[in-house]
Amino acid sequence: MKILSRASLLIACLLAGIIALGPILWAASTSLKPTNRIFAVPPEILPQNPTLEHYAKLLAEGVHWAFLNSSAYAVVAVLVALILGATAGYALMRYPVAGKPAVLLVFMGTMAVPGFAVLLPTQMLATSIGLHDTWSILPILYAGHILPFAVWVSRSHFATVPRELEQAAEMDGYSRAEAVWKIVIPGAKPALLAAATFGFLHCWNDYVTGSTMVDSPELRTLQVALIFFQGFHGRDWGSLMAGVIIATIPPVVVFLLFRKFLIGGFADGSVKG
Amino acid sequence: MTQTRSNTAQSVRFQNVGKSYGDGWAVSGINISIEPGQFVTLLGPSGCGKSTTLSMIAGLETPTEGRIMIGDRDVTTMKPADRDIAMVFQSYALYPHMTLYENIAFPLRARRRRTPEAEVDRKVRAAVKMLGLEAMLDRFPRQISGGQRQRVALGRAMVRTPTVYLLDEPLSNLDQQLRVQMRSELKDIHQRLGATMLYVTHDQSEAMTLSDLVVVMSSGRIEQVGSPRELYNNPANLFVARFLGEPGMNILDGEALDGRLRGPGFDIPLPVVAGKAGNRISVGIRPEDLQYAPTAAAVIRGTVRTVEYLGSRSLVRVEVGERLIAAFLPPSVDLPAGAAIGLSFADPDKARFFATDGGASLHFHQNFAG
Amino acid sequence: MHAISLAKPRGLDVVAQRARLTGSSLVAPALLLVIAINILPALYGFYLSLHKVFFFGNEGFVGLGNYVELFRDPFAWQAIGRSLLFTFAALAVAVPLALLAAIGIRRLGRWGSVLLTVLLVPWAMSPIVVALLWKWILVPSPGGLVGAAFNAFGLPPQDLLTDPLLAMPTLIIVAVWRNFAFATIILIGGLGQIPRDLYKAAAVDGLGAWESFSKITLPLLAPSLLIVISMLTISYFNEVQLIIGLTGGGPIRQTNTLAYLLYHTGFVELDQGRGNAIAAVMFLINMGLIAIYIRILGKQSGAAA
Repeated sequence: MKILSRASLLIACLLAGIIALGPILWAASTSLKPTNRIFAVPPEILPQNPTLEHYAKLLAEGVHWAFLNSSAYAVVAVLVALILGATAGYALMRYPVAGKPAVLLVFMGTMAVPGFAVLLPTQMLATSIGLHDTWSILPILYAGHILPFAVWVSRSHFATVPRELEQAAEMDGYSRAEAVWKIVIPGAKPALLAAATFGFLHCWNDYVTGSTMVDSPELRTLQVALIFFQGFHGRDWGSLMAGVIIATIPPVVVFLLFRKFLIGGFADGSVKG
Repeated sequence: MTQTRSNTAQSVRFQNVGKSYGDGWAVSGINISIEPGQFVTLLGPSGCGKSTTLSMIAGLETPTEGRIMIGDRDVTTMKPADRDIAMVFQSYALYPHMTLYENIAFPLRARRRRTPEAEVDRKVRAAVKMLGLEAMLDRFPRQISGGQRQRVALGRAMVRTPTVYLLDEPLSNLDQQLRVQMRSELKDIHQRLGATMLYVTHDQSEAMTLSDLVVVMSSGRIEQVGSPRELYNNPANLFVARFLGEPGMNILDGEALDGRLRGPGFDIPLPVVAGKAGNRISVGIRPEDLQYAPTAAAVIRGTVRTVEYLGSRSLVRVEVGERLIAAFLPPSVDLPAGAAIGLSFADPDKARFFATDGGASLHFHQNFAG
Repeated sequence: MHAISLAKPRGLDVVAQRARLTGSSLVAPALLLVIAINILPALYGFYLSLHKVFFFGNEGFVGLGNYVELFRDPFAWQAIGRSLLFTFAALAVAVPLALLAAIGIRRLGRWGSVLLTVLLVPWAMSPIVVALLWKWILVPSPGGLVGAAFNAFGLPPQDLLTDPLLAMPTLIIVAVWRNFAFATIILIGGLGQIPRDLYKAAAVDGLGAWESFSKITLPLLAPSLLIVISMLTISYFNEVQLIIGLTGGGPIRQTNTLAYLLYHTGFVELDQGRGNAIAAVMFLINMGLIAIYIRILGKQSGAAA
């Protein structure tokens, strides 16, 4: 009975794994097939004559520029959000702040507001102040989207670093800022990394903000570039799946690298978001 | 270990220091004068203001009034980092992400000190040698025992040769055996360093064994400042008399009449007429200064309540009037609870007299020969 | 006691005021950015929703005209209905699935964390990329994965995404596939906080497996379940990228949720006055959901403290 339930559990897991990863592996397989084998009946699970022609085609169309844009936007936004968020989070924990309950409510409330709900007025506002379709608009917006979360995570995790450690560092001859940098930040590192990962995924995976805030091809994110590519090339599934794989590798790699912090943070309930 | 011996030890003076949090004074009227190289303990029950006092010299709190001097410097409003003091926290406050070596080296690597790495290394190694931590420098705080953490915290303080060491209940997280051991280590370290140390504790045995000077505090005020012997033998008031000693001094309240002090269950001679007849006076006597007396010679009469046999002696609790007093008697005295008992003073000179109202010792009066 | 001229230390007020100033100025940059990016647009959007705005041109104040028109539009009501259907159907699939996965993963021990990582890979992907990927998987041809499956049963390949009855369920399955595992993480955390002794006690008291699940696990997991449900509700209610990528609101408006209606009206038709009215309605619904969410979170952290 026990062995049976153990076996059925394992089978269920295997099935779950296949359902989760199967579609992605299928896309990877498709992206490596020559165009004339893509619609083969029955479908070839593994490419018989693998080719990189679809990847080459995407590169020829300049996919790497969009890739770089997405990376730069995400990295800048995450850095800005972490710096501002950690600063505010620290102050909200250790200092008296004017109107603190209201400030906390602003961060907590906006943490849950999806950027999409205010995207349209944001576009109008950005247009009227001349930020629409510029290099800076996406990092600013992305940073604003993930900032409340960064503040929240910093605040709750800085609180787990004993005040005495900071006092000890101050007495050891360091300024308050140095004490925070050398003692508090390292103490909250796992949570900050979890917030950074979360933020990176948000930025990299966005499509609606990117597609509505910039028009110029050279400013496009990878997601937007892919949809444009689909528009031009319609059912060139090999190239589209190559695009899917290219767009999937960075977030999945980041997720795999930092999954320990992400899963740990959310599972112990300390990184609520 | 001469290179770690402190020639930087400085004096500390509290001048009329007070701290208010808006709703009353946490401490007030603090005047303490500490000589360079002294080991001074702030002793008192929890909430007496000793930690606030320590925080003010550390710079973690700013006094509301008064002035704090370290050597010739007025540090009253100075930042902690500028005071050149070291503190050992109750929780040790070791940096969890740093190895023991990095923890101890941390103060030396502060930008303001600009210590060359070779010197950092020399000083850290000298400190760890003194503390017996050589074998574990690469470990992290979570990998070592409580006693070792305690030593690391001391090491971190020592490497900087600070002007003053502050120690906030540093032994309270250790088990009893280790506490006694660390206590004597601490005393040894103090003597070798010759440093000024200010120590906070609620444990009087630590205060008595370690200190040159003990500051007894209660309810935000200083009750008495003195050497452990002075405090024990000559408490300035009833609070200190009761607080020091395990158990504390026995107190009986009576009325002076014709050179004697009488109260329920006792009748003792007053050494010298203390004021007018009818004065309300309390007599204090330590449990070890009482002796078993045949009824005729007894000055105190009461009823045995409990007898705790301790091997070399017995602690006998006796009900006198409405008071319960304690006496250390030879183990041979074996009385059942409820038995009548007579006690006398082993040495009448050791009895101490206090004004029942206000509690001040009468021995500090010049016209009272005690 | 010699006389000392007491240097007047910084008074209590000055110290407190300085700390307050420092604290406020450290919070200010983050607060300003959050207000500028999240709150200001909401207010501006409400202002615009009271105007006739078309193709970035403000043609004047119309009061509640946009709202009146919107609520007279049967398609808007239909969109609200579709949103509710999408949100709650996806919830109904995702939550039990996440709970099942959480329980299974905890049973598996070390392999459980591997499985959790695998299940989370789709969550790490972009919704628009997920949409492209599933479009290929669902392609109605014997050469596609789903098409081949139809073929194997002797049926002609169906286009699930253009079938009025099947488009919505298909969309829901893809949405759940992408993000249910995220809920699993939180539920695993919640399960971990239930003391194991309770299950031993229940076994001693003679409770069966189902009883100990319904009488111990579910009630004690309620706080985590509430968090998961409120997070997923907000996320599904605002889901737009998958719909853009998979169905474009079709077929015959079957997947035209409020979120997609907003996208289409505001960004495709460029009827920005009306779009902002929809945005305001969505914003209000979101605020309602968030208020519930904050209450739950607040209770949680209150209980934890």
